[in-house]
Amino acid sequence: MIQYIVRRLFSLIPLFVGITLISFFVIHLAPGKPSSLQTDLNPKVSLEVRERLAKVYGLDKPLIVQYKNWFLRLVRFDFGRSFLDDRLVWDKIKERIPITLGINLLSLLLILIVGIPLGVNAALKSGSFFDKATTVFVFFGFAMPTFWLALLLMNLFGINLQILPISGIKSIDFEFMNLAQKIADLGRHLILPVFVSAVGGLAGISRYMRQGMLEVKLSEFVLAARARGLPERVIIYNHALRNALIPIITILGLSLPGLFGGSVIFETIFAIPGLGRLFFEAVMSRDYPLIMGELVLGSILTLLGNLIADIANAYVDPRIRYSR
Amino acid sequence: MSKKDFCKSLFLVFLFFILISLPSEARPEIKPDYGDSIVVGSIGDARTLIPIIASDSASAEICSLVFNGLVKYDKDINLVPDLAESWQILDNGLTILFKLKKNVRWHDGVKFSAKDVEFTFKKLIDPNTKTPYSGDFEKVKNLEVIDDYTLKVSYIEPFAPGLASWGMPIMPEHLLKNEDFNKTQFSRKPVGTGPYKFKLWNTQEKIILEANDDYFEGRPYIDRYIYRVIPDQATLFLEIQVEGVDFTGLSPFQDQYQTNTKFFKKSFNKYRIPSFGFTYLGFNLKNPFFIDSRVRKALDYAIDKQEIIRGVLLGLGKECTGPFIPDSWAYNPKVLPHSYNPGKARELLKESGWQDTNNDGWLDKDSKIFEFTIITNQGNDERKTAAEIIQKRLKEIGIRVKIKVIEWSAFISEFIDKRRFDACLLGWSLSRDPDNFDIWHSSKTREGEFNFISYKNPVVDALLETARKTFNQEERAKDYKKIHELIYEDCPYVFLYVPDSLPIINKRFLGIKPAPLGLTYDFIKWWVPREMQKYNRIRLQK
Repeated sequence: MIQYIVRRLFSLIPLFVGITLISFFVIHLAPGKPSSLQTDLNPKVSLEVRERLAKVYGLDKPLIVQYKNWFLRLVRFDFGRSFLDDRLVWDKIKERIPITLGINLLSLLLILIVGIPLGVNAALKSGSFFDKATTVFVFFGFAMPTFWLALLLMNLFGINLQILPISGIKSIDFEFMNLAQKIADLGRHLILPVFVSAVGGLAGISRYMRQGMLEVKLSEFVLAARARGLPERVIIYNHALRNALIPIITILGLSLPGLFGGSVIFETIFAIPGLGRLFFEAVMSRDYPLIMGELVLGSILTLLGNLIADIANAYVDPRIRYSR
Repeated sequence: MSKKDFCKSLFLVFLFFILISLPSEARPEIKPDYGDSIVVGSIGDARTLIPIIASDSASAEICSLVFNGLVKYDKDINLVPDLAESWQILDNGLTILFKLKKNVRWHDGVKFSAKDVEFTFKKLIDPNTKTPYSGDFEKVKNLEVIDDYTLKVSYIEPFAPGLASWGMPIMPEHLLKNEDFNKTQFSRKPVGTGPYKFKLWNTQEKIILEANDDYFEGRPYIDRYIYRVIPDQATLFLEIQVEGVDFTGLSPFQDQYQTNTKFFKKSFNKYRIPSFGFTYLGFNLKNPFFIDSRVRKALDYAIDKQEIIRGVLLGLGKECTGPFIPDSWAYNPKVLPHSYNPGKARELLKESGWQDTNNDGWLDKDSKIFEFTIITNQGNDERKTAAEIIQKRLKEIGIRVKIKVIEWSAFISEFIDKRRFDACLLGWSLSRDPDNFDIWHSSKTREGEFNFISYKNPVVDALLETARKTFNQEERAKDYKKIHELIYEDCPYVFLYVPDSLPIINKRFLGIKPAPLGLTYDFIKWWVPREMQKYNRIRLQK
C-alpha cells in the first residue's frame, strides 16, 4: 500500500510541471496586459511611466525566460508579488483561505447531513411521492441561479423580517465585541451564505446516493442478508449503505480543490472576501503572479484530491486494491 | 401709536425676520457634537495606502483623509495652502517658493518638515518607484531645502500644472527612508498628517480610520470613518435599506426610481454633483472615412445628445461641447452645442460625396457602403447603451454601424493602443487642472499614448504649449477657451455627456455643503447630533 502511494506521488510531479507550463503560456497568450481594473483612462499616467512599470515587473523579457524565472522561484516556494499591490502572493491567498474553506466545509457538511438520508430514503421508496418530490426539490435547487436565490433570501430575512444581516461575515463593530458576541455575530452572518451554497450542491450528492442505493438494494448480498433474517435497519445501514457510499467517497476526493475554490458570483453577492473573487480579479487585471499562484494551489489540490480518492477507494474496496 | 413707536416695532419685526431667516449653522446656540461613525459603502477595496503609488479611486479616497499635500483645492476649485503656509511664484514661473506650516505633526508625534517633502519628491522621480504620477515632476530641475520650513522648487521651463501637482500627499521620511517601497508594511499601515489616523484594514472587507485629535485644522467631529467593501451593486443597495451603509453612490436608475419611498425620504438625503469627466465617441482620424471633417461634423449633427442623456443617464447629466468640464474655468460657454439635425447631417455628407446612389438605404461613395464599427469596453452598460442609441440614429441617415464590446485589458492593449478601431466610445476622468496636453498634442500619438485618435492641429499644439507655461489663470483661460473652440470646430470626438455623480447620505449627518468641488471637501466639519448617534459601542474615549 505504501509503495503504491509513493509511486503515485512521484508520477504526479511531471504532471504538475506540465500543468504549470501550459497554464503559464495560456494565461500570457490571452490578449491584454497587466492593468488596473479602472475603465476610465487617466491622462496623468503617461506612456513612459507604464513602460517603466513593465520593466520593474520583468515583463519586457521573453516569455520562456519569464517562465524559467517564475519556476525557479516556485521551487523555493516563492510565488512572487502581486502586480496590483506588491503584496506577497502567498499572503494574499493565505488570508482568504480560512473564510472560503470554512464556508465550504460547513456547506459540504450540510449537504452530507441532508443529502445522504434524502438519497437513501428516495431509493428505498423509489417511485413513491416522496421520491418524486425530492427529485423535483433537489433539481429545483440545482437549477436555481445562486445570485437570484441569494438576493431573494437577503430581501426576505434582511429587509422584510430584519432578523439576519444582509452581507459580509462580521458586523462593523466586530473588533469591539467580546468572544460570545463575536461567535454569535459570525453565526448570524454565515447562515445565508452556507445555506445558499449548500442548496446547489444537494442535487449531486443525493442523486448519487439514490442511484448507488438502488443498485445495491437489488444485489445478492442484500438478498442473502434478508435470508439470514437480519432486521431491515441493519441490512440498510450496515450492509447496503457502506457499499453504496463508494461513489460518494470518490466525489468527496474530487471536491477537495472545490473546497478552496470559492465562487465569484456567490462571494460578490454576499461581500465575502474569498478566494474566488481574488482569482477573478487577478485574471481581469492580468496579475500574472497571483493567477499562477492560485493555479498552482488549484492543481496541487486537484492532484492530491484524486490521489486521496484512489487511496480511500482502495481502502474501502478490496477489489480495487487487489486488481492492480 | 406714535410714529417713533411704529418705527421701533417695524424695526423689531424686521430684526425678528432676519434672525429666523439665518441658516441654522449660523445660529450661535447650535454647537456640533463629537462622536459617531460614518460607514461608506464601495464596490472596490483599496490596493495600497502609499499615496504616490495608489492609482485607484478607493485608495485615493482613504489616502486623502490620512495624508495632506502642500496645496489643495478649496470648495470653488481654487488652489489654497494645505501643509504649505503660503507660496510664491518667482522668475516668471521658473521657481516656486513654499513656506510650510510649523505646527504640524505626523500621527506618531514626530514634527513635519521640509525634509519630508524632499523625501517624497525623491521617491516620485526614483525610477524604481512604481508611481503613475512622476510625469508632472519630470519638469522639476531641482528641489532645495532652505530651512526646515522653506522649500525652493526650480523648473526646467515654466510649468503651470506644476503648482497643482504639489497637492500630491507628502509621506513621512523618518518612517520610510530605510524601507523598500515595493515591500514595505507602510502600504497597509500608513502614517500621515491628515484628519484621520489609520486603524485597521481587513482586505476586501473594511478599512477603519479614527479621528486625529491633533489635526492642524481641528479635530474632525466624526470619530470613525469606516470604509466598507460590498462588491455587488444590488447587495449594496439592500445594505442602504437596512442603514448598514451611510454614504454611497447611486446609479441613475436607483436615484430616479428606487429611492422615492417613504423610508428613503425619512432617512436619506440625495445629492446631484457633476462628475469630473466626460464620455465621448472618438474617431480614428487615420481611417479614410473620418479624414474629412465634414463627415465627422455630419455625425455630430446626426447624434441626439439629449436623447442619450435621457436614455442612458435618465436625464442626470449635462451635454458637453469640448474637452473641459462645464464647471471648469477653462470651459468656453460661448461654444454652443450643435442641435440634433439629421437634415444638416445628410447635407454635409452629400457635400463630401456620400449619397445613396443605388437606393438600398445605405450611403455609398465609389461603390463602397459607409459602414464602421464602434468599440467600447465590457462592464459599462451606459457606454453600451449609448452606442446602441448612436447606431439607431446613424442608421436613419444611412450609415451602418456595428458595435463591438471588448474586455477592458484587451480593449486597451490590442485595439486602442494598436489603433485597430474605426471609432471608440470611451470616457476621460480629468484632474482639476485643465492641462490636457497628453490627450490633444500631436506629439502624443505613439503606441500607448493618449492621443490615440491621431488628432493634429498646429494651432491647438501651440496653444497647449503656451497654456501650460502661463501661471496667470485669466491668461491661461484665454488659451484654453480658444482650444475648446478649435477642437469643437474640428470635431475629432463627438462629445456626448458629463454624467452626474449621485451620492446618497444618511440624514443624521449635518453640515454637508455641496460645492463645485463636490461634497467631501469639508468632511471634517460633518457631525451627528448626540441623540441621533448610532455606533455608540465604538465611541472613541476622549
